[in-house]
Amino acid sequence: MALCKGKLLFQYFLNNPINHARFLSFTQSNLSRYAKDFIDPIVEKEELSKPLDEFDTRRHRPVKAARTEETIMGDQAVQKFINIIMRDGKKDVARGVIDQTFANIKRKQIERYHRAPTQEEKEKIELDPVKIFHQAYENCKPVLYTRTKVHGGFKYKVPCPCEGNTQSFKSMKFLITAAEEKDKRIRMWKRLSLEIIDASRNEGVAIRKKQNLHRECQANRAYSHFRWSK
Amino acid sequence: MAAPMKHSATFLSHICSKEYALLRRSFMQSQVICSREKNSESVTSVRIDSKILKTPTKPDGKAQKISRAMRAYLEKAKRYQDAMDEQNTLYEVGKRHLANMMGEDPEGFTHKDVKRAVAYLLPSGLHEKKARPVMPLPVDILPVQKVVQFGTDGRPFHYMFYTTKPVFSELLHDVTQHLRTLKAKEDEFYRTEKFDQIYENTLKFVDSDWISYEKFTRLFKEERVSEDEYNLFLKNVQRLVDHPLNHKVEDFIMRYREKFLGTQAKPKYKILEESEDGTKVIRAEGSRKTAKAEVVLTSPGTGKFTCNGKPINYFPSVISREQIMFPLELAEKLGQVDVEAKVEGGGQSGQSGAVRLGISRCLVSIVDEETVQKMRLAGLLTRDPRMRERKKPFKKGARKGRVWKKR
Repeated sequence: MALCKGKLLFQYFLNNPINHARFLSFTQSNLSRYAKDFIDPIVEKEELSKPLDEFDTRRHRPVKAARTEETIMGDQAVQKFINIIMRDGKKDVARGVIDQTFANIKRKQIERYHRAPTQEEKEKIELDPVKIFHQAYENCKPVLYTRTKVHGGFKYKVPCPCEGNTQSFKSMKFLITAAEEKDKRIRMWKRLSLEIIDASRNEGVAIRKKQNLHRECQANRAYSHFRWSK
Repeated sequence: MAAPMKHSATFLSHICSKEYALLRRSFMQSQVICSREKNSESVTSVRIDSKILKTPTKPDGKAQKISRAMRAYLEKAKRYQDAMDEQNTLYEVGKRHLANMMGEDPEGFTHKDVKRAVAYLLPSGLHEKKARPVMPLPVDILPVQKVVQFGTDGRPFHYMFYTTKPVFSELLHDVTQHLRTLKAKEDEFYRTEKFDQIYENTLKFVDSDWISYEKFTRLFKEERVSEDEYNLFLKNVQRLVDHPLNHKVEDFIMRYREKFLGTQAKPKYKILEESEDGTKVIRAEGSRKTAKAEVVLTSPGTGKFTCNGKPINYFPSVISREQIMFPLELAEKLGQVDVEAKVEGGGQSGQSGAVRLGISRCLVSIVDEETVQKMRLAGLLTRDPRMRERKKPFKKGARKGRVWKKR
């Protein structure tokens, strides 16, 4: 049936070459359904509100469709966090955990707000859970990490700079594993919310994990030249 | 499978045994033919005259010397040329016979007609297309030899011959020549103190990009251009693009550039009703995966939403509900329009994606052009072409493999 549908689709493309030619990319090397010219959609509000330059190539290029989790209402870092915490493709469950986590963070912060004795101290307390998450996420980002390298039958841990996707993934993974290692009788969202609040203040297990990684890199600094060897 | 083949063979041999032999031979050859680029043009470009091989004489009557290597080279080329000529005449004869058999005019009979005639006269039930009877052009079968590149005096025709890649080297040479002329013209502007005129007609080349490496290599028939050489060419020709007087060599540059596919086609919608007080009823269709949606949008409205007669609860997950909010939020029309949708086919996320596309297509008729541009850049006006990938044999899914352990 699937093959049959594929054939039908192919015929449909052939009959409408002008409108659908840009979707045709049947070569094996490029598995994307989009042609090479397509650019990624912009889903951040700030980026979208900027006026386009007259000579911007984006004016002349087609745009890919926004994916299901990409919306201007959502936060891209939070979406990534949901995807990492997800198990067995159950995104709704993962999203539920994150929603409850943020609700709990909000509750804790409001409690702290009302307990604060002076107005000055009250103003210092951040109430937005997404901002707290971002603070925690930034604090957990490692600068260095180790890669194992086999050289002469021995395994060496080679310290490398941690950048981009690796860095953000490691930071999120620290938060999640730190929460998972806590007391299993407590709910995950409770553990995670406590961990995120701690990390936003540069405390807690997740931050310690990052520091341990840095210490390991420091200890193995003698092997850093393996980065350039074959 | 064999029966129609046999039948047609006897039929053919009855008519013309010579023709049948030719067809049969080409059929035998067809099994070893591999696809090769046609460069019949370059093969016939330089012809060797048989007079050349006889000892030529100088204008003063003395015999001119040709080195032994040169003579061998020319003889080899001549042999190849003769073989090609023989095959070509055979092909021509065969073509005429075929045309006569088909009852058509032999003069206007093309290679395309030959293919048609062979397929008709020798019907084959073989599945593999390469195994079916053919009568190919001689250029396609015989091994291609390089064209003669030397004259009798031992000098190469092309002035870039000793670079081993004459055509590519000539291209690089042209680029630098163009750059030199442009620089000279720029100097002229400075000399005459026309500073403001230099940047008057400068082109930006925003709607095009360089051709890919694969397309670039196709420009050179007999030369193999490596990826490094392609990059070298780009590096050089980029200087032409960056030059303020680049409009003078626009034709040359655009030969190696390709226009982008362009922005998407205008989204289709239909205005059902339009009254004087500004109310509009718009209908549009949307689809994603296997889901198809039909959306009717009323503006201005009170923010009602129905999908198949049910409220937003029709979509149980929050992600799907956000999908429907997305275009309305971007166009700042949330709570200002009424939406009525009908969806069928597909699952939850497919249906919500289909409704999203329908809503954003409707919104195009209401909002200003700037917002339309924003919606386009946010990827709301593109139909998501991604479909479910089929399961592959010997795999657990589309890509996932089975666990395999040697011991």
